[in-house]
Amino acid sequence: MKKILTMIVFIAPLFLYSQQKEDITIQDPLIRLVPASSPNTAGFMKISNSTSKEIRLIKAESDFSQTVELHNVVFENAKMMMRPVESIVIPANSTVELRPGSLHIMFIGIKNPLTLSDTKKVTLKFDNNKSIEIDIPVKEITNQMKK
Amino acid sequence: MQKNLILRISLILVALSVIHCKQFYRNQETKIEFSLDTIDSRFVLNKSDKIRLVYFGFLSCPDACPTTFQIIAQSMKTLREEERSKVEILFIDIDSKRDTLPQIKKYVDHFYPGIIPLSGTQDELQKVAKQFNAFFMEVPIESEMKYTMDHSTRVYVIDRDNYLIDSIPHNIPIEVFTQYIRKNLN
Repeated sequence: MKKILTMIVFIAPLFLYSQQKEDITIQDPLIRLVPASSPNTAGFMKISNSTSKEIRLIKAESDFSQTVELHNVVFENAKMMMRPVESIVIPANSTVELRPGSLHIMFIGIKNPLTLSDTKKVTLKFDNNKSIEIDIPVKEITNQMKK
Repeated sequence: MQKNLILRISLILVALSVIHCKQFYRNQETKIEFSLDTIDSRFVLNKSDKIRLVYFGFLSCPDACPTTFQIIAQSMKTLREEERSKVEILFIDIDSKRDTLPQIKKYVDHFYPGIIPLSGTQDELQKVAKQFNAFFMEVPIESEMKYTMDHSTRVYVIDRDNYLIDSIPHNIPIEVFTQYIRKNLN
């Protein structure tokens, strides 16, 4: 009996912890610092889906630009092509990285010039009816940077 | 960390081998001739005591353009003063419907002061791009942007006599980019 009680004491917190774990987590978010005369910028981050079902990022919203869209960049034969995408799929138990040269959140029509110390509120909406609001710092990006 | 170092060393080795190969562009001897609008005047590509780095892009570009200018700027900062003074950078903006020269100047100054902003009519710009074997095209998209510009991402190098002598691939490590500049300075 004592053994069983001991086991419960040790196992119960683990069980509670796993229940508290978020379905979707965001890591290393950043918005690219762009010159004041650049009308648009891009946002990057890692999105993890810890559920056993595919989740789609279907929309992003923010007040600092006129419009927010989901875009992808394709490089082919030393050419850059940017295209909007309807959603970004995060497969079950996977992480998708939005990064330079690939998928990104496109902020179109920046209302006020960005500065390095800025943090922007962005809401991400997923097809499982979840919304996540995050504060994203504005950072300078170089090709030497991994995040 | 070690993996990163090995990757970087191998990238440098690959770049060095590319640099030491006989250049495709040297054999072609493409002489570049153009004039385009710059702030308050007309820029004419004349013979110079500097080599010229040329990049085609646009201000709404989400990725390739800012990345390239970051690399150019950081690479220029790593050059010695006497090397730096022999390099001129030209930015040919291909989105003349949206971007104005004062905006283009403000944009390039953000990255590295002294980059020459250039613009022209679509017809003029296409003729210039053709000489470099560069590509750009307006593409309508379902977006608030209405259209985007697909474009070449290489940085082209013109020598002091206006010959196209090299083109540098997109998004390479800064130290490799610097090697390309140094090779073309000699």
